[in-house]
Amino acid sequence: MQNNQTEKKVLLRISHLKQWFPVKKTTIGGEQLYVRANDDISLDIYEGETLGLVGESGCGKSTLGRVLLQLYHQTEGKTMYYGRSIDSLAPSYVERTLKGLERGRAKLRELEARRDQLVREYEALDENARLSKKAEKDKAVKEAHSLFLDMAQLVGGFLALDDLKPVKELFLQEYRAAAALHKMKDARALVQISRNALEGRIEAAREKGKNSASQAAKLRKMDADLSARDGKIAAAESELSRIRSEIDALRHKYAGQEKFDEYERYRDTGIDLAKLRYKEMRQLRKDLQLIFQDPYSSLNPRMTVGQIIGEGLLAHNFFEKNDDRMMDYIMKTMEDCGLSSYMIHRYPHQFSGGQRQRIGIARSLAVKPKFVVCDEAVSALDVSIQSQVINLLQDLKEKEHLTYLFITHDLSVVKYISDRIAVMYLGNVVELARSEDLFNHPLHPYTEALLLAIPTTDLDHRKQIVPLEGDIPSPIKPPKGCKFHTRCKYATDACREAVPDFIEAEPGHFVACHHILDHKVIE
Amino acid sequence: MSKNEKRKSSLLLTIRRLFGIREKETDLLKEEQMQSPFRTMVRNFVTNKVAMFGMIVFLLIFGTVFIGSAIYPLDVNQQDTTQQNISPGFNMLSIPSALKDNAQDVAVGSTFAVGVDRDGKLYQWGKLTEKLQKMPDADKTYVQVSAGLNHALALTDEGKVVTWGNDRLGLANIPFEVKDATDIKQIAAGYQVSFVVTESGDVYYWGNPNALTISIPEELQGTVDKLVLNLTTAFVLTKDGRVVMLSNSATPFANIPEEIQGTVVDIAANDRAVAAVTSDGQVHVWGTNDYGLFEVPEAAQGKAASISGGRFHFTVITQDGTVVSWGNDLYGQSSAPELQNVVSTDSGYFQSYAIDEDGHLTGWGLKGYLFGTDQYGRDVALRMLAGGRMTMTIGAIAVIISTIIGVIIGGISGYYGGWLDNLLMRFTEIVMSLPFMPLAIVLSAIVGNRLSEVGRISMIMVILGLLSWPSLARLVRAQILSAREQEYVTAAKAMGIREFTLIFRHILPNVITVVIVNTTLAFASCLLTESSLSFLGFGVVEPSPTWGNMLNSAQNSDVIADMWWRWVFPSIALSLAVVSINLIGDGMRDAIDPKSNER
Amino acid sequence: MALLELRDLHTFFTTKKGIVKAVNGVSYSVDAGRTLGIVGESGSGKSVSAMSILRLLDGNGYIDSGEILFEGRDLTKATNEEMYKIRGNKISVIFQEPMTSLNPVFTVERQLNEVFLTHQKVSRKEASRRSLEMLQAVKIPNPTNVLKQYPHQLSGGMRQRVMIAMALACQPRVLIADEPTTALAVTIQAQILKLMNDLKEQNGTSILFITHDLGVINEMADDVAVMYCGQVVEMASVETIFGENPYSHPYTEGLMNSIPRLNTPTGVRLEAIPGAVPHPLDLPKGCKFAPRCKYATSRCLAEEPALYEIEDGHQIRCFYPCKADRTRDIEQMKEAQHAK
Repeated sequence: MQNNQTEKKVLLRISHLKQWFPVKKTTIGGEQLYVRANDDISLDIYEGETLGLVGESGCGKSTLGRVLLQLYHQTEGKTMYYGRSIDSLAPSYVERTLKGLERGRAKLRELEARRDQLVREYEALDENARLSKKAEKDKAVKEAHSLFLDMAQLVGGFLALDDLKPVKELFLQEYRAAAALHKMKDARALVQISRNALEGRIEAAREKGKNSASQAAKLRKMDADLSARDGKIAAAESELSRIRSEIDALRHKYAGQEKFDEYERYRDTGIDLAKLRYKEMRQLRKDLQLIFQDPYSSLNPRMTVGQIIGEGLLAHNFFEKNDDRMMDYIMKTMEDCGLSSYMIHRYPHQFSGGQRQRIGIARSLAVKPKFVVCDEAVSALDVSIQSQVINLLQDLKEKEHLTYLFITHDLSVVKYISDRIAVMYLGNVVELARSEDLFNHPLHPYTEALLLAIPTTDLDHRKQIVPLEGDIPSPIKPPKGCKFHTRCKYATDACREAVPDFIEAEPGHFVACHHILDHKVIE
Repeated sequence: MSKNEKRKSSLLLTIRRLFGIREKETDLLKEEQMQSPFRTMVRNFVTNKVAMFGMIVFLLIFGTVFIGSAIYPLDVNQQDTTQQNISPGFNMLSIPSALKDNAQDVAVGSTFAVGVDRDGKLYQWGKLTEKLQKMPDADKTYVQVSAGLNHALALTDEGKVVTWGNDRLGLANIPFEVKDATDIKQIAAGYQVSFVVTESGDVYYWGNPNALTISIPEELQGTVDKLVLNLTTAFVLTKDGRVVMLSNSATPFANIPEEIQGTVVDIAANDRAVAAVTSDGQVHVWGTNDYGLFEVPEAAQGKAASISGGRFHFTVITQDGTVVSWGNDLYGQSSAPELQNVVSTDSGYFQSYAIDEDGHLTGWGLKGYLFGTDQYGRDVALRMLAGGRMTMTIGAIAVIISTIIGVIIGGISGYYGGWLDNLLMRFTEIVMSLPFMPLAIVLSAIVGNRLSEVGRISMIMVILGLLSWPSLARLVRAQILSAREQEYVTAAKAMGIREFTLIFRHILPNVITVVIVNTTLAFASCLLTESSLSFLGFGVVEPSPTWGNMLNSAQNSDVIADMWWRWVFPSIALSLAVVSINLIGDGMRDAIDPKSNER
Repeated sequence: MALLELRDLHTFFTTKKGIVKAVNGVSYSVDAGRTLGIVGESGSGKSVSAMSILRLLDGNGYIDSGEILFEGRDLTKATNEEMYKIRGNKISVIFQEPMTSLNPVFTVERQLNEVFLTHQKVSRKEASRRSLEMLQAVKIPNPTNVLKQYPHQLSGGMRQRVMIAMALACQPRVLIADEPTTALAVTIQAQILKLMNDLKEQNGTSILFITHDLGVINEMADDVAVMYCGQVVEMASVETIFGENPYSHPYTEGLMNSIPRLNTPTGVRLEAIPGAVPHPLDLPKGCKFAPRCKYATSRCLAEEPALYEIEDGHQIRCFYPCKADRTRDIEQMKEAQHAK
């Protein structure tokens, strides 16, 4: 499902994501069961868009939002983040993969051989026998592909070379240069914030009519330190680009070889979030934020609004601890989010529900994120407050160029706010389309049923809801084949056996169904 | 409103609320504005009258016990056979008003005093036993009195000796010689014996022959001028100014200085030393130099006219009629008031009395015991102060030990989870299932005997601490588990907060409040457990007092029936302390419960 | 005559900080066989007014004044004994949380039987037979099995069906449904709503339907009462509320404009009602909605409007009920300000 719309930049790419939660065993030695909250999800999120995620309670939409942010350790699949170049973070998994490049390729060859054999066996079977064999074959294909991707994403076409050693050395050099640069920049940032804090103190003193020579001298010393660091950073940067051009030259040399070009296509500059260490992920959390459903329980009742918002700023080195400018910044953020700045010393319990949600939003947006998951951000609010918060989210999005993943069960809200909408059912995305397309022209029977089940405020549609019969199956033992077949009025034998692929049925309109609908539900 | 003003007004408000004064509700929103969760907790606690009452009671007990025991230190080994089982009260110096300005003679007994006025009427006051209360014939006229441990003597103007009070051990059997005698000069009642000295210089005595091992040499008869006695022996002053001890034992009392023989005008004996006044007004003391008895004050040395002795102190009348006391001053018996024209004194046990020439009677020294005394004559009130300190210290240290263990084990278990949690929790359950009392008793019986006093006390603390942590550990674990699941912890994690901050800022505060409440309540139960152990005799043992082992005596039915003060006061103190701590704990629990804010 | 009628009901709660007037002069009525939808935000008193009918108030709540007429009798004056006979028999209730309203330690059968055994003189066997009938009536698949199950073995939708079965067991005259579908998934909500509508048609039960969801109200109700701060601010038939109408309360209008609908175009800003619901202990003096109302005048802030009957069966608590008039007024005001 590679995307053709190349003009839009992908921010997050999720492929074959699985999140299974183990269920406590009731008998010793019994089969280990899992709640399959997310079961093979592939999804691209584009920069600057609002992607709506709808589904009934228990379909795994909240889990998906949290897995994206690595609040759970994902069971399987890849979550690639493109908001930063991999060099700017220099995560340690790159080094690990590079060092084991030769061993990895040997393993890959083994897996590929096994895969090919299984595929041959599968092709030889007839239609009915295939259905049962498919899972095993798919698994082998996936395993081989996953290992291949781990390496190809980093080195690209070079994986096709016979002798990996020189390439490996070169890439390791690049990694080390990037890591050193990253360290230098972090250190510089720390100096910078203490310099800023000092400057703030000097200014404050000057306003009171005091001038401290020692402080001014210290400031000059810090400035000198900073420019010295800048020089070193510039040198490290040029070193890095030298290594890069060396790699580029090498790449140029091999370009044109068939296998090389094929592998080169898999080269990926994204960061594989699942492989990051706690510390590395912590740095990225600045970019990836979460707004919670329950505005009360997600705020620490023992902290003031100022502390709640300031906590993230301190953790990500925006300010030094006792910097007065941080207070100004927090107040500004609060005002941006529709809170009066004098409330900065209040505690969460002194706010109404809508205001609390604004605090949650202010906390997330203060660290200037790129991507925000809004997990039922307005569902717990009163009707008249919901629209205030929706408006606020819309305004902030425009102002800060944010990307939203908007998780909700409310179809009217999601239609209003989203550019594209993904519909989830029992751990799977069953349909993904632009929001107009999805509502005008749903292709999946579940989407259709969902649209028909929602009561509207439209008098003409009064008493016309068509309930979807049956209960939502358990995510521990989901139905075989298409998970929706137990409630689907179009279900056939194929639905009961085979899992439908997630295909692009129309441009930009993806669906996972054996019987794609071709009629319009809502005119 | 400035910050200071705010604080002040909230304090005022608190105090007013405490006394139930409610003012008009201020602007609701304004009030809400100044509430931090911590302040809300404090306010919730302070406005809870029951909890505040508990707090005040506990602070009073705590303060009394710790400050009191510092001001009145207890000598744990101090005992006094003359002061056993005295009921509470302060009437030992309550001189009857009729006697006060008309006194002729006075005598001090162990817990009471006897006096006779110039009209020959008998009086007695203080702690009187049943037998003492049966006073002799009021028709007669008396001229002299003497008091012993629990009996008294009086001399009529007809020269007859009367005895009352304790009538056992032959005390009631006045010898014929005495009955017949008409020239009795001095009567002296002591520890289960009575003496008489006649004008002719003869000495007679009766009573318990084993109380004092004395022998009166034949050649002494007819020469005796005055006789003094203490609990172990007696001395006589002969008419020619010599001092003779009436027993042959080689005690320090026997070191009568040779140089004074022949010049002595008055002698006195107490239970540590003997003093003699010579004709030049000098005071000579020999015996044991306790309580500074040998250091005769300047005011008395060289000016002494006569002397009398209490249990551990001496009182001298100087030649110019003033009074000087020295020696043990535990009850103020050596702090003589400034008197003039004193003609006679009597010091006995822990009191001293002086009569001046107008017949004014003044007394000083021990007035009585607040909570009475126990079977060894120890002051129950003093022992309660020291015992309370011991009990609370043991409780506090045990609680600290159990809190440290509980928090560490519960914290590790809750935060890291997994197999470690499993292991620690099983261990906790094992400790929990140990039967506490039997184990403590067995441990104390096996190990305790080999330990010193301090070691034994520490052992009790450790046993209590080591066996009482499991419930706290489970509580802390549960609290951490629930705190970890709080959405704001997830939020902080999603924000990219450092793990360290996460634990200290978001998880620990939830635990601390619970730990404080639990510790408070555990403290109360530790007090009780220590007391039960000591009550049964397996905790802290005598002579170190604790509230528990003070109750030990209540195992005796006589004590329960007749000597209520020996068990009522410690048990009241213990229950008050435990109840007030529990009230505080419950109050704190309510205060930190966020729901209580909404009610 | 209306089957159930509330007349000027006041229900108060005593709290540490003062008296909360949760229901402050509410009047509404439910006719036989009709559904009255009560819509309002949290704290508007919609649930409390309904719970007052059955006197199921928390310990610190009490009915201060007013009448609750049921079949012509005033329930506020009924004895506890009489109330026991009415609850679950003539008036029954369904709550939001089906899990907490069922006792987890008894089977469905036992809990259903209890209703019959309490209110009707039937044998245990007969009760079981009727329980089975009830489960069939609420369209529970495989009812004989479900009877023997415990609440935790059922899904949320099934539990709510059991609750409905229990509520309808004695064929009550009035069913109070307090947000019965809020906790359910959308498709299950649709099932329950349809079931309730069907059962109502069959049995002619009147329903008092409480929700904050305007869509659900549109689906279920015949008449609608909009509540705000313990008062009914507008009452009319559902067609009047959701259809084109020259009159409306500004709060109702605001609610309608503020929720996105399926036909709301993207990119158009939502017309949010500014501010928040006032603190129940700190209610404004005049019209309760005035501080948030864009049409509010000084009169609104000073004086409390009464509930006027603006047209037949349409009551509004506002000085300016005509939409066109107040919009024009506000434009004129703006022009006047510009002119200045």
